[in-house]
Amino acid sequence: MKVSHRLSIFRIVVAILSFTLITLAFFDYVSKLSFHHFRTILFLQFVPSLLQFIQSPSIITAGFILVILLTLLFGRVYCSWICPLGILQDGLCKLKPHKRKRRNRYQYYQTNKWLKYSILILTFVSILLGSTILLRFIDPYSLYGKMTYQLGSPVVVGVNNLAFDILQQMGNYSLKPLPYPSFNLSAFVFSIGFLGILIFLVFWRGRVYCTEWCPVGTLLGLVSKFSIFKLRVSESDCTACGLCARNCKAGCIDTKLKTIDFERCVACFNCLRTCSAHAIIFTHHQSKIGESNLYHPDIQRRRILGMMITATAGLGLKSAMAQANIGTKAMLPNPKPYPVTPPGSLSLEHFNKTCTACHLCINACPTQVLQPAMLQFGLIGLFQPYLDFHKNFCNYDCVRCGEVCPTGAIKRLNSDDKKLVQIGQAHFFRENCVVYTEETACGACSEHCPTKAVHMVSYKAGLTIPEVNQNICVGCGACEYASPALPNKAIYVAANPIHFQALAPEKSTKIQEEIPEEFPF
Amino acid sequence: MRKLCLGAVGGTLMVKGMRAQSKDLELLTPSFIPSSSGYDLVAVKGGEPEVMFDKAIAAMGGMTQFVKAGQKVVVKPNIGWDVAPERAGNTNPQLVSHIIKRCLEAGAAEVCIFDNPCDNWVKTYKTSGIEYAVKLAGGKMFPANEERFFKNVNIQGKVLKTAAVHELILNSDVFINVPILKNHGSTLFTGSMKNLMGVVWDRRFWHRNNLHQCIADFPKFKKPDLNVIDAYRVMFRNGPKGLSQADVKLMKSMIISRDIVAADSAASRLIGLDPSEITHIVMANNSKIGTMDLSKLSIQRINI
Repeated sequence: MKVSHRLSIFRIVVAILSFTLITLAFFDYVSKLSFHHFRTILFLQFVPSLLQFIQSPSIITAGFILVILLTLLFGRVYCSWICPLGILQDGLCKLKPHKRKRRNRYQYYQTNKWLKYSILILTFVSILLGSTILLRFIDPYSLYGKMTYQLGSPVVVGVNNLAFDILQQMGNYSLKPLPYPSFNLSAFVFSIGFLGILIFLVFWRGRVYCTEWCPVGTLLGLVSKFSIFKLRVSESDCTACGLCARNCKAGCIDTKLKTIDFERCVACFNCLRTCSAHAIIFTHHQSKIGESNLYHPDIQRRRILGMMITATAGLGLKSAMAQANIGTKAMLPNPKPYPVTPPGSLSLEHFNKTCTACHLCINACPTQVLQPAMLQFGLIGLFQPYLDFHKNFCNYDCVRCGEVCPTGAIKRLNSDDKKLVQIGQAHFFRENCVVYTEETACGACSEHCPTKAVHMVSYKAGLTIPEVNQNICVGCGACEYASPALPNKAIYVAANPIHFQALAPEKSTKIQEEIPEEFPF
Repeated sequence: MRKLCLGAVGGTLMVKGMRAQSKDLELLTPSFIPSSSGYDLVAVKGGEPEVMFDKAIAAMGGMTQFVKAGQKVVVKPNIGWDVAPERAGNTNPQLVSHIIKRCLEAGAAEVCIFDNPCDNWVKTYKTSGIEYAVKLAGGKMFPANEERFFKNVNIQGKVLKTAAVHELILNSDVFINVPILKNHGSTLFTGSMKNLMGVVWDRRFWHRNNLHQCIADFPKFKKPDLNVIDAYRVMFRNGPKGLSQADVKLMKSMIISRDIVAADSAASRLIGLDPSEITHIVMANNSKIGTMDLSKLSIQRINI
C-alpha cells in the first residue's frame, strides 16, 4: 500500500473517531459520561478551547494551542481530522449525486480574501466587545452542536422510545423513554436552513464554508502559511492532468499554474492519493522539489496574524480585569428583561461573552429546563440557553450543565456550592394565588421549593398561603413551574443579571427521636 | 354476597375465554373476598420494615388474601422527590422491595412499580433507592414521564370529573398503595389518599380546583386493594420534600388497611394531628369512601 493511501485511511479513522465521540457526547441523555470525558472529547475544539483559555489559562484548556502547533507542523489538519462540521461535510460529499463516472468533481476557484478576513476580524471584534453573537452563527463546533440538537436529537429520542416500546412489549424494562426536545422555531429554522446551505455548497464546490467563511479555518489558514510540512507540486513531474484539482474539496489546487493555495487546504491529503504522476508531495517546506512558487512570505497576512495574537492577549487581560470587578456593579432595578442563566454562568455579561450556543448543555440537561432563547432577550440573546421555568425547573442537586460546557461559559460547580448560587429570586403575587382567589388549599410552589425559601404561613381558617424568603432562594424555578395558577403564575423567578450567593437554608435542630410507647389511637 | 364472591372466583378460574363476563366480576373480587381475620386495620411498631410488614400482613390473613396466582400487581410507593431514603421523602425502599417479594411468593405473575415524581423522574427513581430495590426484588420499574402512559377516565367526584390515570392502575388485577407518612405544607399531612396524586398526569388541575376535594374524590374511581403506610422514618416538618435529616424522626411504625380513609385517619394521629383537622379525610369519610372513626373499627395493635 502506498504511504499516501495509508495516510488517507489514517485520516478517515481519526475523523470518524472524533466525529463519533463528539456526537455521542451530544446524545449522552443518561449522564454516563463524566466531566473528564467531556473535557477530553472536546479538548481540541478550537473556539471552545480558546474561549476557556482566555478565562482560565491552563493545560486542560490549551487545546487550541495544540491545534495551532499541529497547523504549524502539517497545515489545517484540524479541518479534516478534528472539526465535526468539516467531517460532516466530508460525509455529505459522499452523498453527492455523480454525473458521469468521475467522482467528486471539484474545481479550482479564486478565494474571496476580503470576505473571509472581514468575517475573521468582525468575529474577533465582537468577542472583544463582549459578545459571542457572531460565533453563534459561524463557529463550526457550535453550528454542528445546534444542528445535532435540533435535527439529530428528535431522531435519536424517537429511535430510543421505539426500542423502549418494543422491549416493554417483551417484558424488558431496561431502556428508559426519553422526552423529545421541545420545538424551538428559530433554532430549528436556522439549523435546517444552515444544513441546506451546507449541502448546497458541498455539492457545488466542496468545502466552501471552510475555505471562505469559517473564522477558525481562516485563522488556521494564516497559521498554515508558516507550516513546516506542506503539500507542494513538483513542476517537473506534474503533467497538469487536473485529476488532483477535480478531487480537491477545498478547490485550492491550480493545475494551470501548478500551485497549491495551502492557506485553503484542509489537509485531507486526497490529492496525494489521486496523483498518478506522484507530482504532489507532502514535505518540508524548504526541501527542494522541482520548481515551486508555493511559498511566498506574505507580509500583510503576517500583520493580520500578529493582530489576532495581540487581540487574544488583550482579551485575556481585559477579562482578568473584569473578573476583579465582578460583584461591584450595581444591579439594574427591573428584573424582567433578563433571561435566567444556568448556575455557574456567573453573570449575564460573562455568559454573553463566552457562550457560543453549541447547545451541548441543553442536550445534557436532565430536566430540560435549559432551552435555546428565541428573541425573548433581544438579538444579543438569540440561541443562548436559558432556564425556561414553564418547561421545568433546575434540579437542586444537579450540576450537569457546568460539567459539559466546553467554553467555560458555565463554570463547573460542585453540588454543595451550586446549592448556594442564586440565579434569580422568587416573587410572589398573592392576587394570582389559588389560596387567595379560590380560598382552597394548594401549596404546590412551597412543596417543590428545595430550600423552603417559599414556605406556607397561616392564612384564613384551615388554610396556609405562600411566603418567600428571598435570602435563601436559589432561583431554581420549581415554584414557578409548579404554580397551577392560570393564565399567569402566582410566583415567578426574576433573573439575577449577576449571580449572587444565597444564604444557606436555616439549620433547624434535630427532631427528638423516640419511638412512641403507645399507639395514639 | 358470599355466593357472588365464589361465583366471581370460580368464573375467573373456569373460563378464561369468557373475558367479558369474568372481567366485570374480577373488578369486584378484591373488596368482596372475606378476610379470614376480622381486623379492619393493623398497626405495628418497633421493628424493621420487613418484619413489621410480615407481622401486619399475617394479622390481615396473609398475602394470599390480596394476591392470587397469576395476577398482575401494581405497587404504588411515594417516589416524589430526588432525596435519599434517610430524608424520608419517599417510601422506604426496603419495604417496597419486601412487598414485591411477598407478592411474587404469593404467585403474582408480574409486579410493576411506578410513580409520577415531582422532581426529575430518572434522578428520583435512582436517588430514592427504589429503582435498585425493585430490580433486586424482581419487580418491574415502570416510567410515568409521558402522557401516553395515562388514559382518560371518568370520575364521579364532586369536583374531579375526569383524570388521566396511569395505565398500570387501569390494567392491573391488584393495586397496593404504599405511601410514606409525612408532613405537608398545605394538606398538613401526606398519607394514602394524597399518594394517589402520583397516579394521574395533571396534578395542577387538582391544585387549582380545591385540592382537598380532588384528593377525596379520586378514590371514588379506584380504591387500592391494600394500603400500607410506611412510618418507619417520618418527616415532621418542611414536608413534603423536607430540608434535611433533621426533619426526620425514626418511628419504626406501619399501618395497613383495606380502608383508605381509616388508614389515613390512624396515620394522621401518628404524626400528631387529629383526623378531623385534615379536610380530605373528613370529605372522604362524608362521602362514604371509608371510615375515619377509628372507634368503629376493629384494630390489631402489634408491638415488636
